[in-house]
Amino acid sequence: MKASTHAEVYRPFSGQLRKHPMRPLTLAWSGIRLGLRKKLPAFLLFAPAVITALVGAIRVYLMYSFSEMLKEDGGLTGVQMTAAMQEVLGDVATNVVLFVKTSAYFALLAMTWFGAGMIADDRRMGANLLYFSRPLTRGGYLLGKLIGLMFFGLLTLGIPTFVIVSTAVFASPDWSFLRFESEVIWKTAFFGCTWILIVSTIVLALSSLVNRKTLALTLVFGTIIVVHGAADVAAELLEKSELKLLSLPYNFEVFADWLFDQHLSLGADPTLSLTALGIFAGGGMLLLWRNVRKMEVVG
Amino acid sequence: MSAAPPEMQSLIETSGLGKVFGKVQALDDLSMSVPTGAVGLLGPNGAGKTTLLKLLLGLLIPSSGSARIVGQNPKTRRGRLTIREHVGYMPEGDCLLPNTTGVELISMLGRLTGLTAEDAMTRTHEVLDYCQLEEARYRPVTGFSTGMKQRLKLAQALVHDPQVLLLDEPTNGLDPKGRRQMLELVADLAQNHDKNVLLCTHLLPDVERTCEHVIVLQQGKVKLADSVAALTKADGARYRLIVPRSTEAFIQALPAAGVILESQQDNRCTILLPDESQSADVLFRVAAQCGASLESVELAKSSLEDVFLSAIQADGDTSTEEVTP
Repeated sequence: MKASTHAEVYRPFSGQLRKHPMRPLTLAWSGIRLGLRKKLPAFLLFAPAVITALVGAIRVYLMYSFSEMLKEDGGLTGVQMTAAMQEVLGDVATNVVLFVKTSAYFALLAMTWFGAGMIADDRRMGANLLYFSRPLTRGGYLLGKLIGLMFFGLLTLGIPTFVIVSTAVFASPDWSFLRFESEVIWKTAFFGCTWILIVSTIVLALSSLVNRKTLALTLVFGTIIVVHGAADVAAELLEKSELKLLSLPYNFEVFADWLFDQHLSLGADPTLSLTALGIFAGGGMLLLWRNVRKMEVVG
Repeated sequence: MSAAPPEMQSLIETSGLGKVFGKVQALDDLSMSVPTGAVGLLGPNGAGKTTLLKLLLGLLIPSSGSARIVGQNPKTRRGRLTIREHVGYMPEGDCLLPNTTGVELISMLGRLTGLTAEDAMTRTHEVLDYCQLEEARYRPVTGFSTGMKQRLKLAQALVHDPQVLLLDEPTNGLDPKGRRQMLELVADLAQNHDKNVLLCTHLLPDVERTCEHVIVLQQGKVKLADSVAALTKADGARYRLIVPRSTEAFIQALPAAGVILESQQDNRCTILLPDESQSADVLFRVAAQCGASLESVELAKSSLEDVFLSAIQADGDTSTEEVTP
């Protein structure tokens, strides 16, 4: 039976709905596709991460290569040059950490750009009505958005880290990096995951507060960068280093220094910074949960 | 969809359902039973129609009372998820994600409902064809006209082939052609594909054209609920007459014959025969006795508009300006 205005008939669906359809992954994939639709921002945001990864990998490779060449050369000159190079460039592990920390800031930029609109745009368009009129729980929605944003974090932080660490592993003589400095690998992975998780939570929490991507971008940069600057200045002026705990980058810096056994800056307390990061993450998650709940139950 | 919802006595049941937004009572002690089939939920803006739909989907929490749809209570998590599997919802607002194409949006929503990727894509193309969006399916929805957006919203409600469709103002913003197309789609779904449709609108003709039952809401209360046929059935005792000659004499002679004059305007009048079994012959006899002639004798059929107006004016409330006859 055809309706008179159209040529196609309505065909009933004879299949079955899946019992465990992994809805968060569907939502995440949709967010990733939407994010990557605009090529120029994607290129501009991924380019620095790629460059960092390449520079880091080449530097680590050259450090091992020169070190080997000079050792093979033998004699006092070779040993002295190796020592001098290490003094200038630091050891390989320090370089890996340095490049991972640098990549983390590029990841912050990318995750802010891609994540700012993830919930704000849904709110602006009222797309939450489409999502929540389906059997999608708010936990599923939240997880889908988090996975989508963490994917961008993985692209801009995870992959460069993987490239640099892999180079160190394969370029090191007799797998020495893997044998003697393997804790750097696990610590790097842990640092990267923590960074991606906390930044994703905060970006999405701030995105859920407003209903425009531009507002969300302003809010994220204001919260992270302006607060960082203000906390730094206030800490200097008032001579209270605790004020720096308000800054997310500062706490991550202290966390990284503590994790990788680096020299801690003056007044830095890893316990306090870890607590601050925990509060940022917990607060972000609570805010996110509250706002997503309001999106599901619209009134 | 093979996963059939639980047995339904009626499509929707509410008991003392109430919803308050601040100081505004959107729904007030609403108790009703909505039959299966195509049902029109009619009422002026602010009557509580959209609120009722959102309560049924669990998108709002009731302030009081309870509701059941497809045998499930939307208050419970399990009930809510089951309802959302079996119900297709077409929201009123422009809720389509920009930068997505029709195919991407519908297939994603289909997968969110529980379709496999393959089924979702097949269904997407089927429903887009059905909703006449064949050629626009790969275009970003940002460039869609209002009519196309409305049809895309209908398509997303249909993608998982639900048994129940909750359509919130589907003809909103459409031109006459678009409106006709949308109503034909809705009528086709209800009449030929056994879909239970709750059509929420403030447009009386939309309900008349597509629905078997009508529920009139006003200020959060049910003012009227019956089948369209029963509400607009021919009233056997009421006639509309045109009396070109000796009109006054004819009218004066009516009470003696037991006929009640309901209204008169020039030579046109509406009369009521108190006894429904009484034949219209009495009118001709009266006309013959007083030398009048009857140019037209027509059974009066009360339109839905008349019924609607009388229902909402029964309380002395005349705020009907937002309902478009």
